[in-house]
Amino acid sequence: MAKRPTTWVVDFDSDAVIDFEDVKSRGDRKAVFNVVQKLKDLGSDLPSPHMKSLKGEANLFELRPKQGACEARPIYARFGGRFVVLAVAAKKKDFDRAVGAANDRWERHIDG
Amino acid sequence: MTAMAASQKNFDTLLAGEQLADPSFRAEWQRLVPAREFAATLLRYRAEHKLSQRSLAKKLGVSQPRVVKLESGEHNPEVDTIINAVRRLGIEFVLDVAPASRKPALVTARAQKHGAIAHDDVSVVAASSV
Repeated sequence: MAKRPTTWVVDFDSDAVIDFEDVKSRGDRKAVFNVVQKLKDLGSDLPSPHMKSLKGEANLFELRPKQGACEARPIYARFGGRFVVLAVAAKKKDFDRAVGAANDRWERHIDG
Repeated sequence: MTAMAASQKNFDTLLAGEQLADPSFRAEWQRLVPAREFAATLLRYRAEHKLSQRSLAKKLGVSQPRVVKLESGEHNPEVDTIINAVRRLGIEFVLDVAPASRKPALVTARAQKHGAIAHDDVSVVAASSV
C-alpha cells in the first residue's frame, strides 16, 4: 500500500487570498486557519463534518470551519498531490459567488 | 485549452503572515499545538475506521458533543482524556516539551518531523501513531 504523506501541500489561489481578506472577524479567521490546517494534516482523509463535497460540482469541496458553526467557507479542489483553496466565502450570502469563482479559477491550477 | 499559469500562495506562508501581523494569534496558535495534533489523531482514526463522530464517541465512552469539542483542535486535552483515548483506541500519543535552544532528546526524529513547533522559548512535539 502506498505510504500516506505525513502532511499535504495546501496552496491558496491568489484571488482566494483576496477573498480571505473579507473574513474580518478574528474568531472566523482563526477557524479558517484551523480547518485548513486539518486539510493539510489529513488531506483527502479529512472526514465530515469538517469538509463536504459540493452537490453538482464534481471537483469542488467546501471546508467547514468550526464544523459548520462558522459562516466562512473555503472552497477547494485537489490537483494530484496537493490541494488548492480556490475561493473563500466570507459569509453565507457569498457562497454561490465563491463557488462560481472557484469554478472559474479551477483551470488555472490544472498543470500545477 | 491550455491552462493559465497559476498565481498562488502556500498555506504556511499565509499562516506565517497572520502570525507576524497578529502576535496574539501567534501565541494562541502555538499554545494549541497539542489540541490540533490530538484532534488530527482522532480524525485520522475516524477516517481509517470509517466511523461517524457518534460511533467514535461510543468507542471513547463519551458524548458526541465531546467528540465535536475534541476534534475542534481549539482546546488542549487533559492528560486523562489522552490516556482514555489511548486505552480505548489502542493508539500511541506523544507530547514532548523542551527548551527551544536544544533539540528534543526523548522523542524520535519521525515524531519531531511530524508534529514539532517552536514557541518563542520552548519546542513542543505532539505526534501519534495514527
